[in-house]
Amino acid sequence: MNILSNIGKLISYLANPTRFLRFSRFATPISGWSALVLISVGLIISLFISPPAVEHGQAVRIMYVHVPAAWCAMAAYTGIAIASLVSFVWRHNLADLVAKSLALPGAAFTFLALVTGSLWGRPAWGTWWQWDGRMTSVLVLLFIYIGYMAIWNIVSDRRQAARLAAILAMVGWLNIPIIKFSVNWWNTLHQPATISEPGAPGLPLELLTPLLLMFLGYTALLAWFALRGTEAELATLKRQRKAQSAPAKITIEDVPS
Amino acid sequence: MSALVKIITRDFVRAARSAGSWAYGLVFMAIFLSLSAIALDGDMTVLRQMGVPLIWLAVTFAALMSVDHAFSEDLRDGTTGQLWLSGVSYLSQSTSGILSFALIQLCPLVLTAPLWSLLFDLSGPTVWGLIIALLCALPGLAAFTALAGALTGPRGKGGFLAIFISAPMLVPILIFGMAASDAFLMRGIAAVEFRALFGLSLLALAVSIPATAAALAANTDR
Repeated sequence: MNILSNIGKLISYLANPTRFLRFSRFATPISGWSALVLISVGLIISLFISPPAVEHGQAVRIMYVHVPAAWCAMAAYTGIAIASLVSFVWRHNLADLVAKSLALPGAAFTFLALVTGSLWGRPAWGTWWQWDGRMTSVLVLLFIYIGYMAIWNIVSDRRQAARLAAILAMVGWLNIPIIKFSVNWWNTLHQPATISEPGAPGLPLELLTPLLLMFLGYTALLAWFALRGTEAELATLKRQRKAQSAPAKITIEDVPS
Repeated sequence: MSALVKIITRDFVRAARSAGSWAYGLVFMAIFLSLSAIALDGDMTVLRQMGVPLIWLAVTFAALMSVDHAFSEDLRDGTTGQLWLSGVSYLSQSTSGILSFALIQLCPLVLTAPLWSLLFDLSGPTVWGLIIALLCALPGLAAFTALAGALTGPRGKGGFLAIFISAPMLVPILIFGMAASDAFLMRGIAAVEFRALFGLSLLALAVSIPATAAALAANTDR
């Protein structure tokens, strides 16, 4: 309960753009640089140091790009849904900007997960694409992102766009379990979760280390995208406002005689 | 309640006076299905297999194409705001909008399914399965399409955006709809797929009515 109320305090603290910028002045570089370092180290370990897996061979290295991308695809949408709820219910000033700036990276991660999954599927299952439960639901997630971005694109008034996009994000979030259930019931081929479930086989340490590094690096990258995107949106808003509130200038030109 | 009935009556009157623009969905469906049959080379063995999925797709796309009829006209000319000012809540506006969209736009699409099934030489039980499944899906289809219409609001561009927005929501309906249409041949109306489909439809309705009302509110005040 204490944690929840602290998070609530932090959220309302950050509703003020000036305070947010004060927070992001150090949070943005921290997340950006840690993403760079973690992903570089993770890439070096996963590409050169870690051994090929017994079953998959060298193709296992795709996993280090694929699994974190899929995680970030889902994390970004969860972030959008939560930010939308905060923005819709409490009319939080910045939550809609956070949600908006999570959309494009989220869609990109979803696309990356689909492409790398397809590249992995070829050696592992002998097919580029299969209409199985997980692949289909990730594809549907990409459609959800496209619809969400379309709303931001067509509505010119920012507040209106924020509210409409928030409604769509929340309805989409409610639909995710239904989509997941229907698609799973439809067809399933993808391997079940390897790490997260208790009693699952688990990964050997030399494969787990680069995966965890990439995991953290991707998450930091996502945070950097969200913070940097919000900063950029704020800067755009500020510029618009400045143009609106500037005093009118009239230049009287010489009247030709 | 009386506001609900009045709005639906008004929608019917407006559709009757619209010089047939309510039937664009039907015309689209006719063109889509004939073109599909031509693209499949008119081969009856293929057409017989593809008939049910193609009619499902045609109904879905025709619904999305006619989404402009749902709320955008009212939002464009300010009727939504006027109704709200005269005490009709957004919730009853969204309920009546979804209802009249289902009755005016979607019912003709579903009820003409036997006619379209002639193009694909479908058997009698297949057509029955198709129609019952489409009727079960009708509330969900209407709810999600109308929600997309309320979200795009006065900016609707012939349903393109509605397709972007509602495509993910329509996936479960298509999956269970196809399953129910197939299951009818083996287990009849008692098949569990029909209950799943109808449950899904009702869930869609329960989510969409308040969401549509919120979208109407967001589109009205600026």
